[in-house]
Amino acid sequence: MSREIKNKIDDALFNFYLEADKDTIKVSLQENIQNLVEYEKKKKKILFLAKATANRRHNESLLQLVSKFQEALLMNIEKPIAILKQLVQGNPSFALYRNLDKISKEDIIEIIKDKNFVELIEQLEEDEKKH
Amino acid sequence: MTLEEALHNNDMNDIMDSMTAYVYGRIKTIGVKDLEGKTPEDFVGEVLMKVAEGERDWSKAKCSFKDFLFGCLKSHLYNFFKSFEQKYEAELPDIESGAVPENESELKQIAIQKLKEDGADQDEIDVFECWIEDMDKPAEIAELLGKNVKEIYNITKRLERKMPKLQTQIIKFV
Repeated sequence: MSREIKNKIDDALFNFYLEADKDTIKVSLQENIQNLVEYEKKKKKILFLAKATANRRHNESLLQLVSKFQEALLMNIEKPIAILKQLVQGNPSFALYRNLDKISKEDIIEIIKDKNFVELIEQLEEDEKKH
Repeated sequence: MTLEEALHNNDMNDIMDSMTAYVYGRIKTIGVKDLEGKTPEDFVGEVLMKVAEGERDWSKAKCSFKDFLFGCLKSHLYNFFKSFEQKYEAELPDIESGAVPENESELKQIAIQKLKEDGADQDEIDVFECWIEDMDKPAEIAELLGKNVKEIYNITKRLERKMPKLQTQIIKFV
């Protein structure tokens, strides 16, 4: 079959499974899986492991960020402090944290916990490369 | 939305069911029987772990979490099946001389003829023609053909069963 036609068929079937409703998917699984009880168990296990891994990575990134900000505050490094100030100023509920000199590890966690860690780490690493 | 939120807020049971059904479908279409000891569920698990480990970066995605996971799965399967497809195609018998189509349009007509010979009805042919014309979303096809999307799902399932045979019949036309 020409690659083009083959790819079109593959794309159509991909979109079918992506969009198909719950009932259609259920029928499809029933046709293919002999032991649905085992399948459900395996699915739960996969999801548990994925969530646990994602949470572990999240906590590692959080601690990595906190340590970078603490180090920056200690050594008075301009860019990370500016990022932290920007986060504090951008949120009125962080008024208590205006004085960064007295900020604790827990305070930093409170300030950055809902932010995009990947972006923050990238911003900080970019600054580290410049120095 | 962070990865933890995405895993928590989406109905992961349903998404994983759809992903698993897709893997079963791909295996059938390609015609591979030996998955090197893996089950279709294993592929879904591998993709989710790649995402959880950050090997596939959700934070940079510009689509829904389901679309993102499906995209990762498609690519994961592509890499796994690449070697199988080459081996599979090499083992197919040569097409009879004189039957090689000259262009894509002729190939499309041959594919439709083969589908009819395999018992495809007009609905299946109509949907197949939509695919060839790059209309590959069930909702769009339903609108164009004036049918309920559920009907398109059923027609697609019937058509999917005919794909392995179609591939063996015309796969060597390149």
